[in-house]
Amino acid sequence: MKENILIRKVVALVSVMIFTTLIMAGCGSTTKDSTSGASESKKIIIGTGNGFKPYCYLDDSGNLVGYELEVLKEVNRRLPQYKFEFETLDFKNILLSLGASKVDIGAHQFEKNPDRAQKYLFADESYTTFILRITVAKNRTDINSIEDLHGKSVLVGEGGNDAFVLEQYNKEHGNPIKLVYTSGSDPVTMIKALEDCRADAFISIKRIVDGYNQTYGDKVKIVGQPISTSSTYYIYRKEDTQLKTDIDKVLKEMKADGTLAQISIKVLGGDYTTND
Amino acid sequence: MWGEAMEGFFNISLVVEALPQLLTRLHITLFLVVAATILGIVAGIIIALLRIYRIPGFNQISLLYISFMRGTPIIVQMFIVYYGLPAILSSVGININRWDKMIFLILTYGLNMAAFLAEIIRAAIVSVPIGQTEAAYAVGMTRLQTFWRIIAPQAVLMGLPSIGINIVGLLQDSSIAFLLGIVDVMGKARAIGANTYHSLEAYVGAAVIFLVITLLLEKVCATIERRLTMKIIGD
Amino acid sequence: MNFDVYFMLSALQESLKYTWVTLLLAIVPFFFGILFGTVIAIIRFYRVKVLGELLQLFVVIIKGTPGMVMLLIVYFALIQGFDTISQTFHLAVKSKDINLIYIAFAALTLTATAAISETMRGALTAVATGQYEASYSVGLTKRQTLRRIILPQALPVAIPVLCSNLIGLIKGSSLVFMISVTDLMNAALIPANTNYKYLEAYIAAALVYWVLNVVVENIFFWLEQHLSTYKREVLV
Repeated sequence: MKENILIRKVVALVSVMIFTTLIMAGCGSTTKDSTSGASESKKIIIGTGNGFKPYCYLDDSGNLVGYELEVLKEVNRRLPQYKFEFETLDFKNILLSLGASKVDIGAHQFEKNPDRAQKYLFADESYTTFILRITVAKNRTDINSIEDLHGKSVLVGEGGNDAFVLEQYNKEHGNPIKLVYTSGSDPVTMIKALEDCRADAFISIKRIVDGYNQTYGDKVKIVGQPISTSSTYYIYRKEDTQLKTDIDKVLKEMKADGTLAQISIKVLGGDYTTND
Repeated sequence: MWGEAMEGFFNISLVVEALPQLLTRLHITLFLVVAATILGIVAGIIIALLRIYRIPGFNQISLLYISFMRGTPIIVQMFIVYYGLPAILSSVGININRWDKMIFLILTYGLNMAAFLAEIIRAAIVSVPIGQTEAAYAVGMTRLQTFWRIIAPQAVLMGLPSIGINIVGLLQDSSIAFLLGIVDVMGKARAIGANTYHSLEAYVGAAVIFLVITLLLEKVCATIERRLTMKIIGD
Repeated sequence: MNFDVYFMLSALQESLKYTWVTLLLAIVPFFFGILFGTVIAIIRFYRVKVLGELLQLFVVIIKGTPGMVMLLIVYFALIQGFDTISQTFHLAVKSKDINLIYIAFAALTLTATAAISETMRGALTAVATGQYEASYSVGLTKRQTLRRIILPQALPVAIPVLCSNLIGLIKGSSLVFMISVTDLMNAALIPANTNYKYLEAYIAAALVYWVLNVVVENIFFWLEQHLSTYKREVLV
């Protein structure tokens, strides 16, 4: 008898869950339909990330927040002929989704290079300056520049600009730096590796490193001059030149009237928008 | 010394803090698991029967399907379902490209599970001695009656532990959901990690939830097993 | 969508270079998993007091913990434990001198042990109870029964599930990238960072996995046939 009740309870619980999810899914889709029907503007789906603070991440209640969202919301305000909708995907799926027309714009601090431009259409107007710096353990004093990294091991994340910059450097200088690839999805293991001297450095940006130190207690620090200052761009499908031109124009305006700088100061804690 | 060295990296009170946040996404994980399991079992039975009755053509296709689904990483299978399937269907004029992502996810997990379950179900059905089928026919049961009353209960009993393990595996291995932006329990753990950098605590919190569900599931499986055994022996 | 076959081939080459890492990460935990898993299964099967229940708890906890979480916990526990010991005894060796692949072995072995112990327990249960009684009645001891009667019959039953376990390990080992061990999957993905051609990289890795797993399946199929004939000979 006892077992009977247990099974019944589980079945009841599961059916309630399925039911609520179905209702929620149903409501979600109907509201979507009504909004798109009401406005005449063209729907543009933006593919952005869900785990890259402070650019694109989810807040406590699961809403997308960050720099990417703030900038694009302002862009959309100035381009009423479009209606932006946001979809959160991981880095690689943004690229694949763009190719498969699941999304129309990729916004995940993408950096330009000729190989990448072969496959995707990059914007002409950048919207962020990405300043990469060397990060080492708090007590290290021997590393102060990229030359000091020769013969040392550096952790680089998959899909990041850090790997690309150091790979280029290695190519030009005969592989002096030992690159240790990691998924980079979890800062804990990277910081632990620096603390235990398993690796000598990783490459990051100041704001993120500040965040690490606040969270884990002062364990790492930024040293020396930036090793790379690059710009990041939105990416489009090759044929979407009109969309690209429209957004480029607005970004230029936003730079000229200081709006972009304001958003950067508000969200990133400094003006990281000056053109290369 | 241990605690001192772990300082900053792991704080047990943050696990407790993460738990209620993670639980708000439990219905997504459960929905995904239940829907994918139902799809997996139905498709798995069909594939198993195709293999048992050696239906020409389909038998070979099933073998290839099972081999691919077992042999390749699920992320690649997700690419095929999420990107490939709409591309193929759009060439015949059906546009499913912007369907709800959850549907693609359930399809991916369900089709993957079907391949594993097909082999389990096939092995379970084949393991029922042929003499029992013959005996059932002899007492005048139809083919369908024989399957449902004689073969199915014993086959379920044989296959149940493996099916349980598959469900537990699916419960945890929903990493692909978050890649597509669906926030289930594990996705929420990642989101907390990305937001607060306290990923270890969030992951441990998620593990605690999975542990409780695994225990429950085990109990349910054991109960079904016992009742089936009683039923078979009782008959 | 344009598909770069040339790049796919170069990613394929990269992943072939690291295939041995993936194989090692699957076979070592598989071997130890069979060893520990069989012992656990036997203890649980005979319902040894206290120890049996403790092991059941152990298996459930490991089964309920996602592989990634297990890897992180083992990573921190081993490193921290090692450094604490080396500090206490003033040893010159530090955790940073340990090759991280050993930490991956440890974490994957835990996961494999739990899964394989369930496989073996299922196989032990499948051997009919009458056989135990028959063996006892002809005067065999518990150990003799296990070694001569039960295990030879349980092994062929376990083979197909063990095959699934090994395939799961081969595919599951790619998470070690988290602690910066490069396996075949991530070896294929790394060059894609330069040109964003991830689809090609994934397909290259999938091909290697597929071939590996088909080979594994064939080996196990052969083993199953071989062990089954052996079983028949014994029984006749």
